[in-house]
Amino acid sequence: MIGIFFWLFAALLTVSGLLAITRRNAVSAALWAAVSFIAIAGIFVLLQAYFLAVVEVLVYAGAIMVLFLFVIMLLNLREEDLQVLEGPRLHILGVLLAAGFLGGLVWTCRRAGLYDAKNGAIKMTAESVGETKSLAAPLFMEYVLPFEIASFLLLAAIVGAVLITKKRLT
Amino acid sequence: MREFNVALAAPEWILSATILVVLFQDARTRWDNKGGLGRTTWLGLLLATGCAMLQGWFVDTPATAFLGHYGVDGFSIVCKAIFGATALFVMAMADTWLKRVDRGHGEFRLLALMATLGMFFVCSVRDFAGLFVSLELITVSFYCLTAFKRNDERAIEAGIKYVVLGALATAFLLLGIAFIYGATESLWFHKIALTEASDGVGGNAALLEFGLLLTVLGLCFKIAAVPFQVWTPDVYEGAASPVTAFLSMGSKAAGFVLLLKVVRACLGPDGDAGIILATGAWAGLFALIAAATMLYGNLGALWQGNMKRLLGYSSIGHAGYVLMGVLAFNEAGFAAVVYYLMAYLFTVLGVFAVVIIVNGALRSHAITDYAGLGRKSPFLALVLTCGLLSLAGVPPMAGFFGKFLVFQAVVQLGTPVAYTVAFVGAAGVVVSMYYYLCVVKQLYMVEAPEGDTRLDGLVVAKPLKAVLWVCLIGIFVLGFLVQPFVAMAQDAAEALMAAR
Repeated sequence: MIGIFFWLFAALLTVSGLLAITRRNAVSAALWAAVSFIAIAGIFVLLQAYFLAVVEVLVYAGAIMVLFLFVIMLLNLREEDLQVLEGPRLHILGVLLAAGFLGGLVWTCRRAGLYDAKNGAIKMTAESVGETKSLAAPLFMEYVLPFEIASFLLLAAIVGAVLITKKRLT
Repeated sequence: MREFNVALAAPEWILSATILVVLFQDARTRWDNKGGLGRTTWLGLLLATGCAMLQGWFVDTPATAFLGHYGVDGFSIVCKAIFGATALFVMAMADTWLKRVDRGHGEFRLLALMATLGMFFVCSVRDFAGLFVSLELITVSFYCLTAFKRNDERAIEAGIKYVVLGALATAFLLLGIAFIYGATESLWFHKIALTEASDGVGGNAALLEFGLLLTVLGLCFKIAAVPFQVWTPDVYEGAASPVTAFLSMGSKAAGFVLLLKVVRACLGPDGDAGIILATGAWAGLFALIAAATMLYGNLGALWQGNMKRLLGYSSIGHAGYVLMGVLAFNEAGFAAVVYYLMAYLFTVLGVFAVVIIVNGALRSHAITDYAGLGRKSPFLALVLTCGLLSLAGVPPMAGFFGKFLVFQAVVQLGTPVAYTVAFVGAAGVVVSMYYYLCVVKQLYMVEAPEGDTRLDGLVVAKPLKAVLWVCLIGIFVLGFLVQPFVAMAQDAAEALMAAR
């Protein structure tokens, strides 16, 4: 049963991801990206990571997507303003690189035996893996240092945003 | 081992406090009275660097804090001294440069301080979570610093190119970390070697190798090595000169420190080549990256008429030389990398200090405009000449011993791959000699055009003059008094190898 849902979400994720990067219209590209976020949330649910699934929908499919659409609306790009990256050579190079990357990924998974059902099963270390506690405890104990560095990362982003966008810096 | 022990991170605490003080000071002062910000920044940087160096005497190394996620050892102390010196030199350049800019002084200092904080953390992180956030702290600060001159089209172009490629490289790095986490079931660096030892063939090893490959490729962006080198000339040209100087030394060195830590983690606990790195494929891969980087940088630099683009390509070439030290996968190679970074610090920052002064008068970075500098301003021309010769690797200068140690480490491996990459490197050195000497020729052999008085009577501000002297002395001290510095680099490499 879970297997069926996994393939469903995986297919949805792949298709919507491909559509997101191939649509010319920025709004439809952003909406397909939102669909892919929801598919990821579905896979998180199947992995019993319920909190991550909720956050994925709230933050990515919700807040960040609204921000994207807002910026796209503000820019108000028309179809004829959009330049296409010219040259089939670039396209061929891009496809070749992507194919090589995919090949490496598939080859690695095959070598690691991930297609084998008994190896592929994900080990659940604790019953409460999907709860906020299992996320919060490492965040504030084990990984408190990266957490604090991340706060400076956000400060850098804020200062940088002010620097680049503020009309008059005095 | 498993204690918070927060006092150990004193250099980082000092830098964090400085950032917060500057932030509030900036908000509370009028736009025409920003001198206090500079003083706070200087004080904070000096204290943090001094504190980091004092830890070498007063802390019983190796010591850890934050439940073992933060470590202080001989390697991290030497690296922090390098980063602290870089930040101080860059701040001296920025003091002069900011006088020409009438806005954003506070933001510039804040972002530079936060990049420095990231570099300090980079030296001490012991797991991939810390690696990622500290690296991103540096990168995000540099995205904004690159686009600092936001009215300048080239700066905006540089900023966008840096962000887009940086995001791609970050994606590689993250996916790589995810694979390593999948294979080792932890984020610790030292778990890599344990996983290698426990199942060397098949299974997790395949995941681990793929993850390491992606991680190394992601780090190649920071050090400006093939395949993520294309941003370098454009960003170097578009960004403000102090930012370029900071990028070319600080950001690159941070990438190398992390690369050394990751490569060290793959070696066995006793420093023997781990099961994964022992396979020829990895030596071959690093050799390929190093050779391609050296060729790209040195050949690309041949046709450059812009000083900063030339330095951009030359910086790619130097990333290739340093990679040669990494691919030795042993203590001698790592010591060579540390020494190379020390030599590169004085060399490249000296060159950039001159570039900033000359650009202040010329408003141009064209190499042809440097004509006649040797007669009009002999001291500047001398520093620039010594810096360029040191970059080229001419014997009495610091750069020569950096290159010597790197080549020695590689040749001692004695494998065909090592000989090939050493040969490519030697060819690169010969090529680089040509374009560095072309600039020197421009300084001394070509007269400035009649009536061009822009270079007459250059005034050098005091902090910048101090940087010039320190760099000049550093270039010669690291060239003549090699022994103590080589010993320092070897101690650092030894501490790195002993790290668990």
